[in-house]
Amino acid sequence: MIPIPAFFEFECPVKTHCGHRALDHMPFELRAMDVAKPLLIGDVPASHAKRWRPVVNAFRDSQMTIGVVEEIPTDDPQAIVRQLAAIYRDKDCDAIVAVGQGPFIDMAKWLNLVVSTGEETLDAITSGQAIPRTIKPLAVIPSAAADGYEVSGLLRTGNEAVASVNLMPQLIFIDPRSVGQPDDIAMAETALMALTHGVETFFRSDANPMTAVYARTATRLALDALHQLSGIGERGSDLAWTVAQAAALGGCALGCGPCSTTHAIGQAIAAGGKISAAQAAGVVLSYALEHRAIANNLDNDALWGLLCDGDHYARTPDSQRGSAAFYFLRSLLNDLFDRTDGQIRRTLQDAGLTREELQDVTVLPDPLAEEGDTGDYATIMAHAWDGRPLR
Amino acid sequence: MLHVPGYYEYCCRVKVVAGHDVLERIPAILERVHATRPMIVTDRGVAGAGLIDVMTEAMGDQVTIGGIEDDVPPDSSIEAVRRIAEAYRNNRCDALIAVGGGSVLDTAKGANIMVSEETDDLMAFSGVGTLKRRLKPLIAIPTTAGTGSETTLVAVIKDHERHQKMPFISYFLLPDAALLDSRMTLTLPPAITAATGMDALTHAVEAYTCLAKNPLSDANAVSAIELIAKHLLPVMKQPEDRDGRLALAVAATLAGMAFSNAMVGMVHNIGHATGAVCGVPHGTCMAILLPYGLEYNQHRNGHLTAELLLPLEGADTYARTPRNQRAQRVIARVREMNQSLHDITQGQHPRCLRETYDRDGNAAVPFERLPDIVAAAKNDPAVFLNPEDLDDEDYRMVLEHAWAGTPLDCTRIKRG
Repeated sequence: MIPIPAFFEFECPVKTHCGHRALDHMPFELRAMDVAKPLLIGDVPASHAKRWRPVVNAFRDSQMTIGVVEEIPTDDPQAIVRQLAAIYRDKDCDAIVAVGQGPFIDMAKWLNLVVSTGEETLDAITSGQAIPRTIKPLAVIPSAAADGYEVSGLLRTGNEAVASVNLMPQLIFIDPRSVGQPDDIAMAETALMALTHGVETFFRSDANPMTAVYARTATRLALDALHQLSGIGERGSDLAWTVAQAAALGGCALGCGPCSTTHAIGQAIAAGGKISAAQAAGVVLSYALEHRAIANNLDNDALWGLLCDGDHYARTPDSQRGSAAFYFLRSLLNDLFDRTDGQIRRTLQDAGLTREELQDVTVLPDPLAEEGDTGDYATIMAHAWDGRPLR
Repeated sequence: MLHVPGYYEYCCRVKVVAGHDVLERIPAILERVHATRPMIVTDRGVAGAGLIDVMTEAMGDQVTIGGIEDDVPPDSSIEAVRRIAEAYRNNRCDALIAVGGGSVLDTAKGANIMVSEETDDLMAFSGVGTLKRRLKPLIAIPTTAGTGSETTLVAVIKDHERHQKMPFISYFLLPDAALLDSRMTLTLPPAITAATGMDALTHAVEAYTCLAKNPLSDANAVSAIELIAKHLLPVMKQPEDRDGRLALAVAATLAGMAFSNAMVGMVHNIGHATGAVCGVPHGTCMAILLPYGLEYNQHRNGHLTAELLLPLEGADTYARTPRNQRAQRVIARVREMNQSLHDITQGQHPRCLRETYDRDGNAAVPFERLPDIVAAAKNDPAVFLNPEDLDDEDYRMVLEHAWAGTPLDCTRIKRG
């Protein structure tokens, strides 16, 4: 159980539509927000018509006028945002529907700030003032190959990062037709990042029973997907949809709060180019949690309750719940490693990092991260390198 | 267990601010929504209990109160809405603070429509989605830990001339903030604490066990049940327990989030009818009827009811109880809670309909009124998402047992 803090605030402006034909609800939902001319933007290539077509078709009988810009690159965000803002204004649009993932959705959030405030750069938008509550409606249609930040209140571009609950999309539509069918490795990476977001936001310093709702759900969905990908669970036809849900709800859990230790370490290791940030976070997660447990900064009981079902939880003696949780997370990675012929790493060593390279990894304090001790990072990374439990 | 339906929606856009000193933050919250002159809307019970004084004292002189309207009737009406809208305009207010339960909040929402849309024709905005833009800022401060109405996007206003209750449904009706402050429930009388706590428990249990559940509403429900199971009886014994009071307020809001996304079932269905026909308070109806709803639906959703044993009684009892007995144990536990509440309140918390009384001490639910309750229940939409159907005979059977306080005879339940 999450303890009730003496004071807390919770806000999540996102309405989630999830499931079969979810996209068909989009015109109604936009109209309820007084939207008449949404601009649909996507990084999806025209060749991926299976993903793109149902989004456009959802508006077929809506009597709404839509603008569509597809195959948008993300290599020069500022210039692209400027161009899209010109289209938005020229066509008199009044909302954005963004189909994509990762940096593209960051760009969509930025575009929304530009068309809502009239300012072009993030500096100008944020200098001395909070992100306004009255920015234009933003709907996001996420995919199963996500970095997990799409639905959060975080916007990252280059070295800049902005956080505000008002940056979160008001609407998300997670429809099996539009989540794509990434390969297993991409889905596993998305699920690992969702797992990291879920678990770490559950235990974040500003956690409360309401953030825990999103964190718990994202964690369970991510584990469900990872069990299917590892072969432990039976593979369902909705696997990609489950992965997309986990990522999106993990973003809701994250909100605009601080990022985690695991995230910061994962990003730093990924900068070396030998392992993705999601995989690095997946490897580091159990060691970062164990490190917190040793420092008496983690409720082992709650962790085991988060990771397993009621029967497993209740059958495990109190004193063994922490070790059961760490073992569980590491076993899951082992199974994924076996199932993917080593493409999902169990340890940082698996990724080809040497001890020397590890010593050169500098975990930069993320501009939005909770404070961490660099010495702690080194210990966590050392154990994540060869897979040795901390105790 | 994760239950993911083929399609679901989930939304809870209300900003929740919870704690022991949240009222002191009202000036900052008003500033954030650019409001300087709020009108306070409440009812005589809340004002008489001194809660408006607690609030205004906490705000200090940082806020200029545009007016206090403290005569909202128990059933929100269009007349009350008009009166409050007029006072709002006359006093040049720019925000509303609703302090109270569902009726107060509904009235404030109705008044907000009138002043924001600058209209005298409130009914023109009834129904779904007729509102197209943000309304004036509205802050909700619940004074019971039960209804969860601070999380809903609905207002129901009674039009006495047409003898109709008109619903207004829009995301623009959601409060800008819901403030949960332990001081607002600290002086709640024991019987009301009991009834509202069981109301919240019923919201959570029905959201988890009925047909429109989804993984997020489930997580809301489980957390709410855990908190109520842990804190309701201790707070009854120690009413000044601030942490317990706050936990119950948070639980009620979590349960409100659960049921406003997953809806409810036959407990609410029969409870609405019992309240309408016999005037029994909603929370009391929920407390009495909850075990019957669980028993009646057990052949459909017993596996879900069984899962609730973990948040309700903890890991040890869950592990010790054989899987096929867990649902029964949940039902028994709810009855035990009612018995404990009955004992602590020295009988003020009734265990069955036979034990409910009106203000004059007469039986609130005479046995001969049960057919009227059945007739009313058949027209109440809350039953649509109940796992099992009910016909006249089923309603009658459930009500007779709930009246007498005897467990259902499960062999009489028809499997539809």
